[in-house]
Amino acid sequence: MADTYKNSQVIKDPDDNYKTIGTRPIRHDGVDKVTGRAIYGNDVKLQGLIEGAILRSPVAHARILSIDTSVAEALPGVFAVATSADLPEAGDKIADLGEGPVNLAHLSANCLARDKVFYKGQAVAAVAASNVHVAREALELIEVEYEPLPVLTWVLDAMKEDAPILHEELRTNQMGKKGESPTNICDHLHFEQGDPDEAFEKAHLVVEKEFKTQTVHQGYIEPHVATAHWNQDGHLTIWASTQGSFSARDQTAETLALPTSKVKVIPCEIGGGFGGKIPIYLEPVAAVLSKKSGRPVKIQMTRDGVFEGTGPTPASFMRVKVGVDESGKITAAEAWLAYESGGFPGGVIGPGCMCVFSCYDIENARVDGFDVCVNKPWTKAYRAPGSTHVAFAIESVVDEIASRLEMDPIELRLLNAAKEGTKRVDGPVYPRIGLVETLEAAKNHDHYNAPLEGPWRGRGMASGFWFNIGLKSAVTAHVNNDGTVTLLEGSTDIGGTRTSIAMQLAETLGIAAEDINPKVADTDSVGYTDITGGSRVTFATGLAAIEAGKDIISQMKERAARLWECEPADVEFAEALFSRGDDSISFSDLCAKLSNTGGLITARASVDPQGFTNGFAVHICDVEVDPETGKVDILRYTALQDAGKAIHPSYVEGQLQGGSVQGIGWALNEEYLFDDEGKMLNPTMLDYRMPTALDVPMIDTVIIEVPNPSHPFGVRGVGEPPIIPPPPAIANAIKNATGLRMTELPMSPPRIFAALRNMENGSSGEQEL
Amino acid sequence: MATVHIPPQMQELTGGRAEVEAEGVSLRQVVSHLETSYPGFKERLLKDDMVAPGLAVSIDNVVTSRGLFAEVDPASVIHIIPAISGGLL
Amino acid sequence: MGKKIHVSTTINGEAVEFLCEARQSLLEVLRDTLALTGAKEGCNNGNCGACTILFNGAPVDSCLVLAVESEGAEIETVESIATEGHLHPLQECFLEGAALQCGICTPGFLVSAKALLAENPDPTEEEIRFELSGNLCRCTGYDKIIRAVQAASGRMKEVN
Repeated sequence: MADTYKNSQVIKDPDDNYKTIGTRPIRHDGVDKVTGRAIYGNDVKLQGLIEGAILRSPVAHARILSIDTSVAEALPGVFAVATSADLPEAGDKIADLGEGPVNLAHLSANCLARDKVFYKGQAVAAVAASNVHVAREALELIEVEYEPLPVLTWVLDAMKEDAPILHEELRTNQMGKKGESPTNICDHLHFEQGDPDEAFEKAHLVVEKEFKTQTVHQGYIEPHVATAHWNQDGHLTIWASTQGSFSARDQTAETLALPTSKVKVIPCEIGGGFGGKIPIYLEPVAAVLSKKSGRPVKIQMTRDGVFEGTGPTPASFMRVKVGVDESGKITAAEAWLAYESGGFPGGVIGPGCMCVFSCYDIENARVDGFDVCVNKPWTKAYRAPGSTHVAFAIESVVDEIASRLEMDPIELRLLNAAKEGTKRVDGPVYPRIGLVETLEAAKNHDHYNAPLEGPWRGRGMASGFWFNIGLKSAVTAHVNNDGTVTLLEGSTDIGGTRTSIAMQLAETLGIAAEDINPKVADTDSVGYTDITGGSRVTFATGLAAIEAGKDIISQMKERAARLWECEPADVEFAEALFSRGDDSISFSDLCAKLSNTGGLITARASVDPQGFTNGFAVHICDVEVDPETGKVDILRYTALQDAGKAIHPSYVEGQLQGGSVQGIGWALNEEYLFDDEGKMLNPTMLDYRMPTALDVPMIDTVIIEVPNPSHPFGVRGVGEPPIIPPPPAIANAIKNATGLRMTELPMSPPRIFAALRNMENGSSGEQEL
Repeated sequence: MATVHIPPQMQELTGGRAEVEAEGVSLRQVVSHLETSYPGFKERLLKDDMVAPGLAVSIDNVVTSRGLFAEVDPASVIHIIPAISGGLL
Repeated sequence: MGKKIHVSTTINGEAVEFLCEARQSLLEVLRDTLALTGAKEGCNNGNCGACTILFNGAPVDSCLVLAVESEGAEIETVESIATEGHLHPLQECFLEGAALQCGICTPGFLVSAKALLAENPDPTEEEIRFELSGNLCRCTGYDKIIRAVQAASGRMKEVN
């Protein structure tokens, strides 16, 4: 059961019989987005609007001795200047803001620094002026006196006993137990099952390797932007580019010590996020500038501000060791992982630890993970946060084992694949998952079996795992008398989710996707909805839409019963038709009669689903390495993924393709380059080299539908897994092409060139870290 | 009685035991019961009467978002794990 | 800052006059003074292509053009691609082929692709990739964008 659409294939669940789901309607916001009419954050125009700019720290670690803003304030055209003195003291409060805990003092100091700066680019002060040019002139007139402190730019240096300390009050947290002495290690996680030491002793073959990755940015094309209007009645309105309007509201309210009811966030169209637009940076700053000036204030970050002042994904050091028996069965595994959290505590080591061995069924395993402060930007979520790092390590080691055992790498993975009932090293046991199906599809795929000839060419593959989260979603649906439904939802739409949610309501009601009119509403106009992230929106907000659809059907059955003078329970509904015996009326005809049978109908649903599940991706790639330059070209690329059920296959393919290319960029080129003082050397899109259209081939996709038992249509999240396999798949292909085992990301031309030279000079083919 | 899996870093509270049993129809009751058997447990797991920031609880392999109000049945298997949201904010 | 400068130009076929400061970019004037917000600012230094417009028929990054340089020029922005209530084949093919996700880069791609097809109505995949390599997209991985341009090329040939 496969239908082929250009270079993509959907392997369907044979029991499917959907009308709308699985089709490819035009997205509802499409015309606005191809005509330039869609309103993004920087397109907001308001009466009396003025513009702001942010002063950022020129040094990576320093005490702030004084800030003098008087000259800047006197510049003509300047309306207001703000520093951390304008933000309330946050104290030591940890707020649970829906998606996770946040230390408010850190959140606030990251918006405007208090007594210290912890990385170059940290916001220190802000100006609002008649236009952005005047605001930037005023920034140069602000005098800040810094007392420089020693700078740490590498995780292993920051972990040393005698390392300078960033946060004097920081103590290592070990699952709730705090350490005793000052440190840069925020968290130490430790998991263990079975007896890994004994299992390694008995193993037939043990492979152990060390890996390094560099800081990488989400790279959304739209810079962060926020507009705030602090009204004289005390209400604050924020026009935001955010992945979560309620989260942005709650973070802003907490930072400003306002009740949430005083803050309204109006989500604009959002120009990419990938995790980076979950935290707030500008919202409270624009708010205090608005309060001081009495005018609405818009601040858009500069591109170097985005690179240096927002949260990338961490650099890391990893050591992974795996033991197997003669048959290739993995008997023992161990990982030691150190991730940089950046200037403040709280990075992505947790999911790193939980994902490292999550594609495998391993009886004896041990994981130690460390989250460590360094003088670099405060790291934040980036698509499957923490999982790409560990996949690079484990998938490279597994590939190495396959090659030493002379086994096919997919066969080795199938022998060890996690499946329903497999216990992960952090404890939980998998429900029905689709890794085996995805690996089988890869093994049978034309790409994997096609000949690949020519010198310096090689093929590699790798797997990746990510959680889907559930969290809270709410929708309101208004049934209109013309047979259409207006759907208000709170999930900001980054990649076509208005349509994937609307299609689930359409399927429930048996009507066309075009007859649903989905709107992303502001925080005063729809029920609480968590972030667009964690691959959750099509799953959880879709579930809310289905629930609202059921509510519509039950209310409309009452109306049909009124028409036919019977009991609602006697009315049946199927395929957009209400019926009782010989009586029947279509959904749209009944809509026309709502007005005089009790009024138009509003339905709503608020969900907090508990039964979310996991997603697996398997990628295959062919590369050609240029030995003269070290440049790697991707010749062919195939991304396979268990998607549960693809609601709108084009946008599922889009997730697979976009995630793959982000992963290719991470694998081959992208990295923050720092000097010894912690200054980023490449904060432009020319020098931070993301893939262009010319750098990548078409990305072929295979969607494998292994339904999620806890969603009525079987949906699993799909957004995050595709970024995970590319770095190891490409590393494995490079090994296959050259004999070189690259162990540091990115595998950029200078690194490959140097490693090739080393190998020529007689070293082992192992990249030196 | 529900089975509670104790992560290695919390096993000092249970005298090294990786798996303990506890009674209760809600996570709140289970935690109270554990506190009686293993004093100090509550302080490690909770903050301000909620599951502490950075920690999460999985009941029958589903990470609950209902905290102490989560339902538990006698056959439940409970794991204490780090919160996935680490780093989301 | 000095006095503002008077500029006469043609934008989307209409004669337009505006006042600007010497330091203002054409992007800034289009967006802030003339309310043509279809061109987007992604980097403000000519690296991302989100602000691409046609300047005397050639695709340029409007963030790198000073507004005063547009005196006497013919400028076309994304707002002019659809005509008389109809989408352009490129716009149709972008929508049908799901060639956008967040959509912030889309105006720039449409303008660049329009310029490409005007020069070369039947480009190869490689030519499309080369000509669009000044426009960054972080969501789609480019696959569906390239296919949409190929599809539009075919549709435009049918029409002609």
